[in-house]
Amino acid sequence: MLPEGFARGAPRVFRLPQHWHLIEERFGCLEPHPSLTWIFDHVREQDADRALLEHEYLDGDYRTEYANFYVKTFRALPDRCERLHFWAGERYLGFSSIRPVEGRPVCRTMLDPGPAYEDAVSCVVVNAAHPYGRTLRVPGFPFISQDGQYARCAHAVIWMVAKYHHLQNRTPDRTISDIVTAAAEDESERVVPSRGLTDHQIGSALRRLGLGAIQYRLRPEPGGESDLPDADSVEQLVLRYLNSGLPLLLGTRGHLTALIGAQREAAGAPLELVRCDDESGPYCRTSMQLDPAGDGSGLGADDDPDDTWEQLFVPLPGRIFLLGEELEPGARRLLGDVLRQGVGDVDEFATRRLRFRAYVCDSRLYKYQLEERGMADPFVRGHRQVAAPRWVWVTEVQDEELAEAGEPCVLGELAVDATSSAERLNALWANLPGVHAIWSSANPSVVAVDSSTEPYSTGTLLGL
Amino acid sequence: MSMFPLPVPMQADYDGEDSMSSDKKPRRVSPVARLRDDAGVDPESFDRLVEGMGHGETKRSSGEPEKDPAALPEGFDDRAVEGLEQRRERYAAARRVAKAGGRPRLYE
Repeated sequence: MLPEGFARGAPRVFRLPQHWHLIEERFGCLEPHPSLTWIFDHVREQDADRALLEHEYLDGDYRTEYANFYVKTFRALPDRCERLHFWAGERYLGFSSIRPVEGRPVCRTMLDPGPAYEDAVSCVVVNAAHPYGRTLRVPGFPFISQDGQYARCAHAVIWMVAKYHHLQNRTPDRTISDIVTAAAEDESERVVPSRGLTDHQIGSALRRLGLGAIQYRLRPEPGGESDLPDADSVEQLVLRYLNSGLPLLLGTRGHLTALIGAQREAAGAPLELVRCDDESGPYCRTSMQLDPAGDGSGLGADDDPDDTWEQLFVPLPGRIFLLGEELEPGARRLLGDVLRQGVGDVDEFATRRLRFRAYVCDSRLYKYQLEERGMADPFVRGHRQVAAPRWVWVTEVQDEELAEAGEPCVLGELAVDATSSAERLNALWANLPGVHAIWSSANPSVVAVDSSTEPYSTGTLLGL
Repeated sequence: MSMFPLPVPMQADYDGEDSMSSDKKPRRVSPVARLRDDAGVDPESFDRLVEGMGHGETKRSSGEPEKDPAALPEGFDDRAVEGLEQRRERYAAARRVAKAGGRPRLYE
């Protein structure tokens, strides 16, 4: 059953918390899904004091669901949605579009992660809403829940990641229908109602959508290859992309979610991840649960076997040909080569415990942010003058103790062309205490630089 | 709950012929000017861009390694690199198994 006069009428303002019951009563007849309950709880926790119900909202995603599927069903459904906007004082908390589908009402949604998640979420982008001629902007990660017939969890997660990259990296904007179509190319059964997508369909759909993904199997097949990455390697892999602002798709038993952030309670504490789960809500905490033997022996007594990590997909939004694991050994060698020139201040490393962190980023943004990260001026000027591809891999040499304390911790860094081959890294520039290097040919041009050797801020998004 | 919550603008805010003097009337802003305003005007942008450009003084150019490789700080040395090469093999195995398919997984 639909709410009375769904999508029709006029804009309505709700004063909160006194009018919460009106909102809940209105959408109660749609059998609210856990994700809608999550959204209401989330804005409540941020002291939402006003909500605006935008009527006759034309949600592009629901419209394509309607045009390609619901128009063919017997149910008399409206072709438009209602959209809820929330505020806490002057702060706009975001919006959630409500589709008229019983049991699956949450359509396009963008919510501020709020204080509980803002330090942990690295994949965040600003989206604008324009209700009644006003422009409202909110940072967040795009969210949608599956409608359960036309699209399933895998479609929803691919939509979230595609929308994020559209807003962040100007890749094409994709609707749920685009994703259903892209995945249908490899469907051997009927496409609708959908029963879900296989690994292969997810990979090929991402490729067709311009987000070709790298795939890692984390749980071995019975009797298959067992030399898969250990927990530390998986953690480094995940952090490398989350530090770059690139979401990962996580496959567990029968379910796909997006990993969009991470955090540690304290130095050395287990890594806590934030995932966007269409069945639960936009920001949900989870932990890494691996079963390297593939027989359940790696799971703890409290672990839910259904949450065991089986597969990771890393959709890449541009020409990132080189992977982090292919970069790391070569990057250390290149930095070592620079130090061997005898120009820099090697003593700067002597008393510190070092760690290395790599991330991939848009070189334009990287150059823009050098100054505000506190990098010494000669390095900023030098790096900016080197021609660079759109995407570069950066390897930072960090003081581990300072990094864990959240202090400026970077002692030097190396930038490598992300279109390099794994066999031959195309290094671009590097700085280490007292030395600046530029690669215009195979050998670096190494220049001694009289500058501060004070550590400066990391360019990684999470600092982990 | 109010049914008409959005403030209705007063007519005078728009045509204001009677209530506003001509110099207070909103002027049309061209689309280009609007974008230029959004981009921000920085009359010193050229100077700031080229500041410090050109070649710095090279005190020592590239050449043969001068330091004993064994003297490199921990993390840059061969042992650390070898560990990363071994880890890379495991990542490659994970990609190989994923590519080969195996038991199909369905995400619902």
